[in-house]
Amino acid sequence: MKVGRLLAKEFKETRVQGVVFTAVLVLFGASSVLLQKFIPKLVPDNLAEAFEPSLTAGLADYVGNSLQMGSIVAILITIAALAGERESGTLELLLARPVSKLQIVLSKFFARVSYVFIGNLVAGLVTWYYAVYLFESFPLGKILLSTVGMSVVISFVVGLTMIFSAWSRSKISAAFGSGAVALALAILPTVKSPYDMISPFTYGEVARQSLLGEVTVTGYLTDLGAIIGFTAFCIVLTIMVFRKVEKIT
Amino acid sequence: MNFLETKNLSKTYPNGVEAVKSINLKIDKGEIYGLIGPNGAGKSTTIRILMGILEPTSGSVHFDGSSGIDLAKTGYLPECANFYRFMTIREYLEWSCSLYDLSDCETNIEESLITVGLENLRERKLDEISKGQKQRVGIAQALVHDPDLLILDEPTSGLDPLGKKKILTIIKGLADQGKTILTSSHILPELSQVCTGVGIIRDGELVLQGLMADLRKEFVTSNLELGFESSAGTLIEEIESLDFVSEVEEMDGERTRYIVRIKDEKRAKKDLPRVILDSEAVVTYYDFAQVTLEDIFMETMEEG
Repeated sequence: MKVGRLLAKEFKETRVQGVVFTAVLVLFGASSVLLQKFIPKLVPDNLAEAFEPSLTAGLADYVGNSLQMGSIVAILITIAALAGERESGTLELLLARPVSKLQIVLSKFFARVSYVFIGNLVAGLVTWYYAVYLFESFPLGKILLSTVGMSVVISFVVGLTMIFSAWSRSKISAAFGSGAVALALAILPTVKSPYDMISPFTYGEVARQSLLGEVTVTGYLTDLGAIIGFTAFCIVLTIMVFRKVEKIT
Repeated sequence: MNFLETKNLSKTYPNGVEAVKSINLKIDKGEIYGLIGPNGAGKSTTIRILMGILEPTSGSVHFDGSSGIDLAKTGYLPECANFYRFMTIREYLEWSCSLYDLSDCETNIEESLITVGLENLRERKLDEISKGQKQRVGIAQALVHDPDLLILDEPTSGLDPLGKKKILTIIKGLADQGKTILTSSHILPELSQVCTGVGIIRDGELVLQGLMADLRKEFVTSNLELGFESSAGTLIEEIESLDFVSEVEEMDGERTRYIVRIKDEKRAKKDLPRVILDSEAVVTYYDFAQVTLEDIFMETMEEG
């Protein structure tokens, strides 16, 4: 299967990026709980009294940090997907092989999404370990549900960045384009707007809810489905942009 | 129908530049076809359209009786070929071959490496090889699926004379194996060594096309280089007036070295020595040289 062979090449090429992605998420995930526990010991006594270490606050930080840092690193590992091949001059030979543009885009997308899921899973397990070790027992299932939620949200960022990577001649312009749009979409749910429904980040709240609050199975799946829909739209757009750009210039 | 042909192929870029204007290429099976032209003439654009990388504004490509090129039967070396630097030569060829759904890639890889003479460097990383070796990897990857057609865009570009010679020898060898080869270059002496057919492209237009053998007959049949001890005097005017001579060109500005462009080599060989002997000029150099691709190219360009 050609997608499998293309995917194997992607993994070989970007495995270091996958390790970096996982390391960043582990660092920020685990540090959220660690900092919550140890900040009172790190600051002067008069300030320490103001801190009340709580697992809930630590886990809330974990979700927030993972989504923010994960999205930034996802952009960084995705910008090169097509723009990097174009910049380094390897794309022309790839296009001269009997593989479709759909296969090329899917292999690049799924390689990065794999890192997103693996990175989030490892970070989630490390966070759960520290939560239980430093605070109290906490259901692993909730962590895993939240991990999947965050992975789906960050996968959307990967999909969004793919569009700009297909469109741009350089990695830098792809980074600026996707960064700006991702930021705008992330801000949209925080302002009172009737348009916040068009931002996948609105539905990403389910990652926090599934960890710290209560969420129904239907609600969880509906919100994830909405984000996956946005991501699929990004991939379709990527293929259209990729075809158009490569055929005319 | 020819093995590879285009019908009224045209390409206008979004900025309005007409890079290719109604080109009709005709390439037969087993031919080494040289697409020649100055830089910016439209050679690479034509090749990229043939490979399906670029979409033509109008016109069509036909390969082996079917519409469009069959990428599974075509090997391609782009002008600025770059490879995945994190792979070794062997890994890259293995990966390239795996995209063609072949049952036996190992044999193909081995044969490709031997053809380009890189069998001892197979484990070398692609970022550790020289420019010449890189071009040979480029040819090996184009060959790895045993294609019927090879499209090589400026395969000797940027190579030293030894590297160029090696690549030209490889191209000749591939033609001997029955491959059809389309190669482009703006360095004419190189192509004239290997090409059996030629197409001259100027400002996006195919201004001349044919077999080398036919073109040699159609154009000046040969050149005669003449050298004199001192000024040749009126002899040159006399030679110029002969009906089998098309042109006499002075080489050194001192009226002692000339190139005589001959229309009828047989008559020139018979009658010219008599004309020279009848004059008082002392000849120090007399040599017939076969017409080169460069002569054809220059004459075509001058006509344009």
